[in-house]
Amino acid sequence: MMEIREKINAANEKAVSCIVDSDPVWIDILPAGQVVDGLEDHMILHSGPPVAYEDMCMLHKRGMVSGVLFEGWADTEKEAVDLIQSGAIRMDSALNHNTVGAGTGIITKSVAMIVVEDRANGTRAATFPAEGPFQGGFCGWGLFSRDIAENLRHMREDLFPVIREMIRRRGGLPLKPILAESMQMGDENHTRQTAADLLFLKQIVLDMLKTNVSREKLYAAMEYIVNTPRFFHCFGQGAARSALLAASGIPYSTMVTAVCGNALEFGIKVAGLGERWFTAPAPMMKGRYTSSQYTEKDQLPWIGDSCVVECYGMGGLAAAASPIVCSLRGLKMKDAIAQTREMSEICIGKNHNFMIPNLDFEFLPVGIDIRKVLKTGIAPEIHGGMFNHDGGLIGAGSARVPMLCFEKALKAFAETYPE
Amino acid sequence: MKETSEQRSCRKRPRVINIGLSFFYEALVAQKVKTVQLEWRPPVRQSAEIKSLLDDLL
Amino acid sequence: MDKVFVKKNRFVDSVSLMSIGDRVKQLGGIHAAEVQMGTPVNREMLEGLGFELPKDMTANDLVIAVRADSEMKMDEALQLIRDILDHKSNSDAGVTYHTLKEIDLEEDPFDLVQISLPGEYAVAEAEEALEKGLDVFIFSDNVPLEDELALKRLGVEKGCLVMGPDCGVGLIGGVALAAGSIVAGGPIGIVGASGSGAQEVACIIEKCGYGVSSIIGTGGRDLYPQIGGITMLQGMKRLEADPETKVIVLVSKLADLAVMNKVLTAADALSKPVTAVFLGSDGTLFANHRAHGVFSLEDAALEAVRLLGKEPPAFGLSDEEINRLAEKELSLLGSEQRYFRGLYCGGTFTEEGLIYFSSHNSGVPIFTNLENRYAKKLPDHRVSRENTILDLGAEDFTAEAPHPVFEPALRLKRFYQELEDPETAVILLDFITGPGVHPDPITPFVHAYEDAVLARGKSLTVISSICGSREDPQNVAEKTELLRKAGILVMPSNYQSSHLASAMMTKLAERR
Repeated sequence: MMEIREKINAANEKAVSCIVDSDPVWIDILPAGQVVDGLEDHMILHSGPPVAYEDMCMLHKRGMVSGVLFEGWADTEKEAVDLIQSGAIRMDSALNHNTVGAGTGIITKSVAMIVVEDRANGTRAATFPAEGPFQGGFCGWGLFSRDIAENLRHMREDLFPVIREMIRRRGGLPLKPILAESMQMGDENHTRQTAADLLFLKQIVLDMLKTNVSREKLYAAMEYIVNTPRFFHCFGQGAARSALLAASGIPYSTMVTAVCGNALEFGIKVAGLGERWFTAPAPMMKGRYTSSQYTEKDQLPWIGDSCVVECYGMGGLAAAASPIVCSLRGLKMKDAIAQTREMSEICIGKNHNFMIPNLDFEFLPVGIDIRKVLKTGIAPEIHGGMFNHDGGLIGAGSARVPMLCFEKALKAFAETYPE
Repeated sequence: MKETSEQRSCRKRPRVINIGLSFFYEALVAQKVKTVQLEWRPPVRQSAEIKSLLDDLL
Repeated sequence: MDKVFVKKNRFVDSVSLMSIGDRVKQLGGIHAAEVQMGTPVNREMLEGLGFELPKDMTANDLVIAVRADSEMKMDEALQLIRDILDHKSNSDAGVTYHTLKEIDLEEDPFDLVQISLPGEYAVAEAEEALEKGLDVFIFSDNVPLEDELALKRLGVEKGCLVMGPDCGVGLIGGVALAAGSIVAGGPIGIVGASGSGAQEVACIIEKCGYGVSSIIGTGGRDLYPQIGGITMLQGMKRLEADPETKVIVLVSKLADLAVMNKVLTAADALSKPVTAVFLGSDGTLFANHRAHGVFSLEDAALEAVRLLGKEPPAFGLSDEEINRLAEKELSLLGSEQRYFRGLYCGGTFTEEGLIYFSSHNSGVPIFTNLENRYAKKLPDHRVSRENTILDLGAEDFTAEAPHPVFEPALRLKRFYQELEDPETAVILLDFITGPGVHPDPITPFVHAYEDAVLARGKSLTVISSICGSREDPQNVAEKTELLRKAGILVMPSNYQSSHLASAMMTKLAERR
């Protein structure tokens, strides 16, 4: 008995160090087809655990059609639907590849992606940047229209070459220092990255000024970065994903490497159980609505992969760093601190990179352990926005990952690693 | 030598652990008693199978 | 008196500030306590409360404003505020424990666990506490009888006391537990199956100028045949072994005959003198036992003093005084006022009252919300009928609201109801004080009565007694004055209240 426990604990130490010792660096912007492993032609990725097209929620179904139209695999909606139903389009979870599907998470080969390389772990992940005025837009909400298509083209052809030149000349931008400092400034880097946006901007502005392009082009690129809210969100996700990819597959580890939802189901992955999914009905978030007209009836259950950042020890686990985010749910400062302390009880270790003033300069917890979740009855608390069935933002809140996911995972673990 | 509980109950000012209503804790604090409020949580309900797995693995 | 302090440029977050005012008010004798940042909104609020604030106070300054009854209370309040502000918030100071298991008694010693969780959870915690060799005080009710027995047996095995379940009062080592009072220390030890009963005895002992070593509560079912008085017997053993205790008092309502005899037999074997009251019993219970049987709570206190070898001071009113007072009160009543309404928080006070009326006013029909041999059951507990004596701490009331000792609102509402009834002649009230109950259960009733008298233009008799001690934060002496000034009678014990009410009842009946 002791032997397996020791093996698990040693494996978990290793898994946690993938996160704590990670060195995520933003290095490039490339089309998804070039950087997302296994993303082929006539293939569309989506958020959440795997789900068949017929079963998908409206947002995902719409996203599939949008993906087809965007890539030009069909010209009209009807044709797109027919194509999909003929089985010609492969669909898969974004988290089955080295990427993250925030929101609806629609990713096809031509989407320009931020590339993050974890230089400590030797892994790479790609995440989609915010779509400027269409914050959600194609990737986030599976919408497609002429304007959205045009915006995507504009980003790809006009904005990104400038930004790409900058980052390649610079040789990469380390992301962990930005994450660490921003979390001392009130960000938890899931629903709030206000400070991270500013720190990022400060890091790149001089390099942007050095790029060899016209003033108009430079202005357009800067304007995109400055005016896109939560611009840094995809970089945080990229940092998290690249580290967690390194942890995936560590034998005997009970650390959670992925958490996500597709509005129907919630799924988790566990380091020692590789790519297997453990799913349960997706939870509803609890929080405050932006308007009193909304009730739970209007709400869509959890959709999105951005909770990959919770697996990296940010977001809900970093509540103490961001009492403002918690206040949106009606919580007080002491509740925000209590939330992080509660999360500590289900985590493997502490992350010395994230030292938080509100915790009296203690470190944030890191590495969710499925055993501890089941032992304490405490499920990870994930922060996020609340959305309605059309993809509109109707509030802010949080949800707990369903216990069933962990129960399934533990049972699978016991079968996989009999003593 | 460890105190017997007889001796203990007759000593002045018992040291009290409070579990439950916080105003009982406050009343002890007001009486300047050495006291602590247990941050109690309801016990976790687990299936027998999960409980047994946790006994082995955690 | 008011005091206002401003600490310049001292920032404290709003969450830490939130609870300070409430904590200070709990000291009793404090009418207002505000610790706030000096924002315009808070300035308005404080000035609205009547505080004078310095003109140069800004939003960056911390303002402390306290209105207290006395210099002593003011000092206490300011000290408490200072203590709270100078330490970090409570959650940071010291360790947090989530389970009893975590606590290493070698490193962090404790003696007693006080449990007030819902009944279904109380048992597991009590068990854990006993396993650690700690005494247990269980305020929780709704604990299955079998579990109570198992816990008490485990307690015996471990040499630990199990006080409860459903135990409302305790005084251990000078510390008041749950709804208990901080009674002066002394040579009389009390073991009680009835919380308010034990507390009344203790408070009367204090009023006589003596003190109490312990009040060991046994919980309301300890004398059930299934339990057999385990805690009462253990409590007696403790007091026998305690060098401070010279006299032992046993307090209970009438219980199972075999168990009462078992208890009295055990008392026979003690070296220390024992006096016992089982409310509702007669003398035959004590026939073959050494214990001095008495039949009221106040007599238990007075007899205990006598057993010390002392003569208790004159206590209570003589028959003559009672009659005079009864006549006086009746003369103030109108002809349609004829009914008596008892609104009690303490179950034992209700019992004591009902027993008194049933023996002295046997012809008068009385209703109650309880299942009780001394009175008829009310068809609807929310509406009084004729003479009605209520136990507002009983389940039919506490199902909808907290117990009246913690939250007086429901009882106050009923008080208003009875005040408005033109046929009400007399209302009986008990007031229970202590650090663990409502900080001011008395003032709202005074105001309600004053308003009613003003509105109705005529009077009605309110007879009260305060079960509380000098040290209790509610300031019994001051509140007694407040009650009397308003025209509410304050009797030295519940028994005296019953005596007076009974005399009035008799005279009223004679007049008809």
